[in-house]
Amino acid sequence: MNFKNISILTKKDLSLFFKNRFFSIITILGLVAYIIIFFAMPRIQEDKIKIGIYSDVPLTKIYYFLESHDAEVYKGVSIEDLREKVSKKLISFGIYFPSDVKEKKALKLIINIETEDEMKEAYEYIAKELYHTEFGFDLNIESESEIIGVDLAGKQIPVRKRLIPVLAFFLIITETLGLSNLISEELENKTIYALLSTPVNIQDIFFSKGITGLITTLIPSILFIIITTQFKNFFSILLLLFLGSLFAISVGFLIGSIAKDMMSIIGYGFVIFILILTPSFNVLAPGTLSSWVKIIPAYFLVDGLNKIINFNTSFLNLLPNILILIITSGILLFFGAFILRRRLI
Amino acid sequence: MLIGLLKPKNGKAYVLGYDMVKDSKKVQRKIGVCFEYTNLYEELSAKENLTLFANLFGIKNFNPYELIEKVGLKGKENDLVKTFSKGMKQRLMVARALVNDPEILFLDEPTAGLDPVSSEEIRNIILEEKKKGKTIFLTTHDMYEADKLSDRVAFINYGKIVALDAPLNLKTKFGKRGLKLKLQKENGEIYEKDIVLDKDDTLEKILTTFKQDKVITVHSEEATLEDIFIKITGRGLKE
Repeated sequence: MNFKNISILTKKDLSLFFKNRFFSIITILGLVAYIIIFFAMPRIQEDKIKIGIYSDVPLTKIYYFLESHDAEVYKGVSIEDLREKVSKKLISFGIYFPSDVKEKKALKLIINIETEDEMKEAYEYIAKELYHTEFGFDLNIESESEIIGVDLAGKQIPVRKRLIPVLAFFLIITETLGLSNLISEELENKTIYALLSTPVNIQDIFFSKGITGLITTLIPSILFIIITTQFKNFFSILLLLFLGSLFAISVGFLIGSIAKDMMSIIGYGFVIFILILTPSFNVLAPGTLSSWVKIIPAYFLVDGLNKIINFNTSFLNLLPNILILIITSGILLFFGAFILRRRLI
Repeated sequence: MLIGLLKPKNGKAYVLGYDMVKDSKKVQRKIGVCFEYTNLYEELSAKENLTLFANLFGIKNFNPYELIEKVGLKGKENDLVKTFSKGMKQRLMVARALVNDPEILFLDEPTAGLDPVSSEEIRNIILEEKKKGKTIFLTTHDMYEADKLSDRVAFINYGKIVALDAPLNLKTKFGKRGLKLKLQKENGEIYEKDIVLDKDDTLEKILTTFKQDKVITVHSEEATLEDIFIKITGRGLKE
């Protein structure tokens, strides 16, 4: 291996990468767009329920009960007023206590049509509880809950923070296409033979492509992380991003070694991206995917980033993720290099 | 194999005294290669292409302008290669092969598909390098080119060298020299006659013919390398 040759080739690859308008625009736009998406998301997770109440009978206990539980209450001036506030989503739901509420044991719940079924159920429970508080009737529903794992009640993670690992991974993986294109063009235009007829050897070419891939994948993701996390747990994140870049490079090697042109790179890339981006959804919406996603190595990158950024997990707890990423990237790199060599001979 | 891109499965190959299996990288420092296909970096300029390869050869104070001028691309230094015509690209390929001032040049069909002007320019560059005492391996289907440029010509038939010698020697050995005459009989009939030279009865035949009829035209003929190739291999160059 000749480091001088590697640096010359890397410079050439970076120059070619940025001369390709498509990939340079994707790199810059991707970074800018993801930062905008991050800042467009709410800074805190709004999970307080604002209850609207209008009653034809005097209520003595409910307001005291709600205030003592730090709940937000809106006192409606009429049932129409409650309807309007619900339709405008200014309150979560409304409860109307009619004049015969005590005799008929019936009240009216005003819920927005867009409310999820789970929330509707929750609002019904709240209404029953309030009814019981005010009028003293027993609830006929028993419930018992046990919290397993970290209780995040009251400290929910805002969507924008959940997005950080996902967007950082998107940034890394998007750049894979550019690297694949560099490799594929080198093969298809046969410039690789011109290089190999000089003192350059195949290892120099592999390393220069790897370094180019590392620069193009790592720098945008680091910039994104700096802007969005403000250096919190920076070195653990940096390590995971580095491993993520290695993973992306190995994917880039694989695509580049089998693709013939830009169209086939995008074709192969599309299929592979769908697969490796799937685990990200589990971070955005935990529990939505089965445990099979763990067979996709990208899961361990997104999961690892999520653990550091959103849960302050210790480095020791990240070791399984790190090991799996090292092993899978190593295997993929080996296959990519193997196929590339086969194409050259 | 001789430029170090393939390793021999068996046997040995030595270039400049180096074993191509063990020391191919040492050889590659001293050779220049111009491929049959255009394999330049199309998104880089002519200057960037040459400088890249000069850097890989570790050449200090490399002046790309000199080579660019030499191959007739002056004024196009900063143009992207993708904007070049085939002839311009081919000239740049030859320039790239010369960046390390190689001891041996391998040129694979350097004039294939080019217009006569570009072909002639490339041939002149080859002759210039030849004058400097460089060894040039030229692969070509153009027998005129082979005849004009080469000190020695090897005919390869199905991967085997079937003849190897100076063009003149090959012509002498495998071809025949002759005269092509156009004659007119006394009755006015015009006919053609071939007389093979370098035979015992050649002189007698010439004298008889000249006495016998009126000579209209006389042309000397010699075998071309293409004729010799066909004669040796039993097939044409395009087969």
